[in-house]
Amino acid sequence: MLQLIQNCSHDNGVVIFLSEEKYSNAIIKASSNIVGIMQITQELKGWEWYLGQKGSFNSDKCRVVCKREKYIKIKIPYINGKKAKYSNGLIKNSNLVGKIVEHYCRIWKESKKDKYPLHGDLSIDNIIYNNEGIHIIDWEYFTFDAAPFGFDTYNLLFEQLLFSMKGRIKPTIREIDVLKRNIEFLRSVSSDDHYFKRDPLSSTQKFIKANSKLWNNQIKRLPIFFFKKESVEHIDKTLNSKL
Amino acid sequence: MLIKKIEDIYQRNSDDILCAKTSGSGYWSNLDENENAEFIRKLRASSTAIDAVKKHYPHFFDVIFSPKREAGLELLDLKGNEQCVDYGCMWGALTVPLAKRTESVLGVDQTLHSLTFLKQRIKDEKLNNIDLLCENLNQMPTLANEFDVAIVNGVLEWVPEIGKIELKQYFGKRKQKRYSKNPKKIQVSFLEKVHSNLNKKGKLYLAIENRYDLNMFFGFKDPHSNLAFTSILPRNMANTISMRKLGRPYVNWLYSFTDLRNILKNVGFERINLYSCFPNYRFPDHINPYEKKISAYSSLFSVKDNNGNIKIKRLGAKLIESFVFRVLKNNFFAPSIIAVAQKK
Repeated sequence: MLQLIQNCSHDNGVVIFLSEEKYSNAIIKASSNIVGIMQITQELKGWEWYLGQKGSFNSDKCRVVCKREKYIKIKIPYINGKKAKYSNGLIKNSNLVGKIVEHYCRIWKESKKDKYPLHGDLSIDNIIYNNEGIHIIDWEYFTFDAAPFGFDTYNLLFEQLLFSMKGRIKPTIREIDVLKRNIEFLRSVSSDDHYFKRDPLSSTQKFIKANSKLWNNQIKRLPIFFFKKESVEHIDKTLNSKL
Repeated sequence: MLIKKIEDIYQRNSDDILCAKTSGSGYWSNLDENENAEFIRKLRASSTAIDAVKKHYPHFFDVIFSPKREAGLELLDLKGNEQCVDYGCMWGALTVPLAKRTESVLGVDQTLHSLTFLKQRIKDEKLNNIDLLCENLNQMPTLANEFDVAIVNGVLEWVPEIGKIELKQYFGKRKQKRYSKNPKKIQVSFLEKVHSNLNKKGKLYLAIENRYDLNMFFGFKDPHSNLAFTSILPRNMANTISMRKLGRPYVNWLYSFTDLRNILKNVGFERINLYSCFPNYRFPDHINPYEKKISAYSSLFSVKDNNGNIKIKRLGAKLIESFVFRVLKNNFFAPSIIAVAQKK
């Protein structure tokens, strides 16, 4: 039996059903509009890549169910677990954020390439955690070899910082410490972190602006662009001096 | 084969819509007949159906084009090779999305203006697998075993109606009428035809408001008669109220989950799955299997009135709603029902 859990919630014409099956549940995503079809196609590619990297890809649990010229329906794994509140921000979510950064490094596997796969929407809201660890969901902006190593995690860190700052211009010492710790970890994994070496926040914004097509030109909605100009300057200056 | 069979009975008009060779079919529309004729003139002058609606009837835009409307179609578990029929297709809210998912669709509606609009929409979407038939559902010939899928979306409750219906002049307005048959008999006879037109493993998708929608118990008006309590009261009492207020009996019969299941079973469907819909079947946010406890629902009531003041009656309704849907997780009083029934 199917249960509708989301109906076009992001104006993209995508419906999401939970399918209760004999041995394990699954998620069904379908759309008959151009943007939705594009996103679902990318979503499946993202899942295939992600599960492949994890070594747990199963073509029965992750596949196209029906595809026509103007319609697509896919089946992807359902993950049972918890979600953290994204609005809690960087300090309250600091443990989880740290685990996500570690998970990212394990999955993305730095390999001295110029470009790495892009998740495109790595937010706390797209993370499910359980006894088995961290699971990334919602791969609709996935693109192969599109971003520098670490991009998704920088985006996540700054999104969480934004929620944590709650309108303040300057971050607290604790917030900067959490950022510093995670960025240092990323740098320890990646031998070639040139893209975010200076001004990590404005570099992340710059990358998104330069590649807005990857987000269907909807980048104004991304939380990272909600920082005030003076905040961006202050955060970058502080991080430049600390790192 | 099927289309040839239909073409033997009907003829194509200049818009390539199959119409009765002799008399007209009937009329049911949110727009008056003159208004609709004017709309078609404007449509022909517009570049696309979307442009015409945006410009002239923006309040109908979501009703016609919103992708939210098609969510329920996923319950049919379509494979892509189905021959379908959409009974009472009107402006094609489900006809077009169904055609994108399947081999072919026959859209049937008694209002030629609605089909003329839909024809333009089909052209805009560059779909070549939809045929349109202008006919009253009760007069449609039997097309036995021809379809894999039948859609009856917001239609069953209107099947007992007779004569021209211009909704603006009819909804909640006084218009004397006499009906010769019991509404349920007409609905059952229509469903028997739907059943017979489906092939051996054919599936029916039926969406309708729940007779015992919790809203109705708080005096919210029946969405068909615009009268309070008509759906939940015994039929003879509803008739008396309707006769007194509208000059005609209450014929837009709705059913509970159990009644609808029994009707479908008696008509001959063997595998019947029922779902509850919130806030309604047209733009569902949540669809839950009826057999299971509700896992999510959209609130039906706001505790504040239009002026932002908290109202005791609304607060009471909200509390009862929370108790029924959140605590008991009971589907029985959900606002709408979707039934997916398979012949065998």
